[in-house]
Amino acid sequence: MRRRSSSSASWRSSTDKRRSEGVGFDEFGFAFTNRREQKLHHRCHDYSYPQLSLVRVKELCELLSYWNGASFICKSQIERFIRMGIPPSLRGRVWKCLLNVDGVRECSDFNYQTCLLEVRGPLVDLGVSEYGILSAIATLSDTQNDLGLNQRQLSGSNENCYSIDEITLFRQIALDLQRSFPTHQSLMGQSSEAIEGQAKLFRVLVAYAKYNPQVGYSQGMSYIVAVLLMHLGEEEAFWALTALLGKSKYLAELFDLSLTKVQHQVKVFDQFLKHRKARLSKHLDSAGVLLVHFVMPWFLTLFTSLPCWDSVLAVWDLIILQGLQAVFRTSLTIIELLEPRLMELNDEGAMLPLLLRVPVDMAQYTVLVSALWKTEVQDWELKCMNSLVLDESHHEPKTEKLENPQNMNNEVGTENETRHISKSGGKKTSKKDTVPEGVSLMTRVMRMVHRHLLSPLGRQGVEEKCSQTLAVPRHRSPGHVFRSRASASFTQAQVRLKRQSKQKSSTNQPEGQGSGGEVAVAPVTGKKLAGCGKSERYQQTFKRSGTGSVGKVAHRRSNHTIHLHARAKSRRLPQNEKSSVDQNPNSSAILSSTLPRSSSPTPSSPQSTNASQSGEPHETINAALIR
Amino acid sequence: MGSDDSYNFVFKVVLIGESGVGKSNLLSRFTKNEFLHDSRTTIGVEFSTRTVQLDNFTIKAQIWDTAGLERYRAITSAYYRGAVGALLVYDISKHLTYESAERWLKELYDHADPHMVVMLVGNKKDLENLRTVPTEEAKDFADKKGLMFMETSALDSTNVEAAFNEVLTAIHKKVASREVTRGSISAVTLSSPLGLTREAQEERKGCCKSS
Repeated sequence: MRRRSSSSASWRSSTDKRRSEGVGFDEFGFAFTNRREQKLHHRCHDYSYPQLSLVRVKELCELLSYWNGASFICKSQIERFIRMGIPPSLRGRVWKCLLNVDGVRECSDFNYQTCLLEVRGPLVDLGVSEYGILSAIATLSDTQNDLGLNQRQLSGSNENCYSIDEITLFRQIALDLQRSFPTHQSLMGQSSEAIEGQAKLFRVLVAYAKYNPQVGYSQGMSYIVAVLLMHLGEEEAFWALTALLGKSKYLAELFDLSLTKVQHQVKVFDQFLKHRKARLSKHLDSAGVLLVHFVMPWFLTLFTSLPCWDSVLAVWDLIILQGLQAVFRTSLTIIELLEPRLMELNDEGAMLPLLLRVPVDMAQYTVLVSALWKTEVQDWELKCMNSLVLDESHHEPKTEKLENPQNMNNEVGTENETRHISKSGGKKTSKKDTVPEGVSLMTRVMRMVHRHLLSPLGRQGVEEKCSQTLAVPRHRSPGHVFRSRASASFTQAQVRLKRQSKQKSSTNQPEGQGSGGEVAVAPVTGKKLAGCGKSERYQQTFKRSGTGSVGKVAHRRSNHTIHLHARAKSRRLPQNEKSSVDQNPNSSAILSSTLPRSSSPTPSSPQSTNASQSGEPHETINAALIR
Repeated sequence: MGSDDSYNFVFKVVLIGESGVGKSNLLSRFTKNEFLHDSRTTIGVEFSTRTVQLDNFTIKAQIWDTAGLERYRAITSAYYRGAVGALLVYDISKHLTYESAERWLKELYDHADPHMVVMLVGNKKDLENLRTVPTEEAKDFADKKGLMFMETSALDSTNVEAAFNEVLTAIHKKVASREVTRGSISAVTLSSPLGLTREAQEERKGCCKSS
């Protein structure tokens, strides 16, 4: 056993020596490689991220020192800085603040150090250490082998303090340590820094698997933790990971033991793409390109496979600010950037490599990140798509699939989340807003249908309406929030209008309301609210159930607004009908699937909508499903 | 990628097997003649193509390299779609990776075309002194299951070319004799008589030029 591991290690180390001789690292710690290897590693070392002026850096430092996660102003200020570009040296502090790392640690009764002590037992018994990863892999493989052979005999008398599952876990993590960012200074080769880096990565991943056995270790997590470790201390990285994977705002809806969640999110993204990029989506479809092949790696490794690291970090800044929504936003942006090239290609074999290895000229900061900020993705859109996917899987005969959506719907649900979070001592409300879920499903689907009706041809009309909306003085009363939410279908037009007005003058945008004129778009207001910890829950409950008096008013208003616009649109529809269907082939499909049920509520007043829903068994099923 | 010359057939071949047996390196050795000591963990799928000349035919091999981790199998059915060949890879120095071959095989037949060509590949042949899987044992297993068999080393290139070429030849034979009946890429019109197949090839050529 010893001989094996040592010989395997020496085989490796000789090549490492060759590599580490005179190897240089770029400013983010990635090794410069020769041209050919560079291509293989798919990494670009020419960075184009903007440098923040000293004054701004000072401002940011100040903001961070007075950081208050619940503060609305702090949130909008930090968004402004993220838009300008966070200086690499301050990124760790920004992430720590946004993820509330210290708060999460204080609220949890889990102790990182104690956990590591507990893990030490099995590791010592197995004769492995995280400081000798190669020999650890060999030893663990052998032990696994031996145990596997005698599994049945052993099951009764297990005197060792390790289990087969633990060995599998240790081995899998160890196996991936050198395969996540193999050219990064902190993980590459056998230098003391790399050995320490691999050891830290190992410990954080093992501790997380112990902390959250429902997720355990999944390939992809090693990339995420490695990035966190590049910016945070070991224990901070651990708690940052728990925040990222534990909160439904972030990635709780992406990671689970069976990968069902990520599959669900890929379906949601599929719907989302159909809705936003109908032609491209159809094109991908006809070429036989399945989204799961490239979207899943994006989701599970948070875009760390992109060749330009400054872009990756900017994407991460946004993800840490906005959570899952930013993941969708980035995916959409990349696909949009690749759209012209993809449309020229007709076969999967040519298209997939482009999507799996996004070309450098598309991933550069100046290209990708600027496009990213211009791409708008609204929370409600994603919720709509989520409902649609749930609805579809609901109609599938498989009972297996029926169970899954329940687990996945934390995006809107709360009960499961409570289950997930409970371990970290989260205090989430739940169960109150169970019944009216069907209502919100209805409205969400309706909104989407309306959006389909309205876009892209109803824009002229929309912009008229829109200018009216914009003329309303902006103050943050709940009524306003909901009215604006209702007009969300005009977002694109609003954005356009907003940009136009921005070009003319950017003076009349009060800064406290958000960064760079983002304010005009209503759902952003919602998002900002959602960003503020407790009010997130408050706002969701509010919107979903419409139980509170204000909520009801808002609800009514929102439906009313939609209703009006829908009527306006329906008058316009006949002459545009054909081209609208052409441009948006999916709309008809969605309509046919949703309208039969919603036909009575759609044209009626909100009151009757509520009434019909409470009486309709089908909606009750949906409501149950979503819970 | 899209720059390949015209070709007669497209064959989709999948690489499967446990995590860390060297699937990605087999792929890069075959398609780029490269071996990366520090390759990345495959998340989901990697993908590469290479055009090879077999007899008088030009065959474009689409090789799909899949993630080996157990839980990824939940979604692997999507990878198997349309595959006409598979390389089931294990590590000759890790017996456990060989033992799981049977499970992988079942997985494969559950989701893919049952007539597909499968080769059992013992990789890391360069680690002869660490061998735990005897060649004979693996060969017997392969014979029993009706699989082709070969031992390779992606590190020193031993048999990599040969393994892929044998699989592609076998697929071609099956296609020619129309043994495989469905589930293949559009270029391979398996169920149709030869004349029609030609037609499909022509079509393919045309579309290739345009891309």
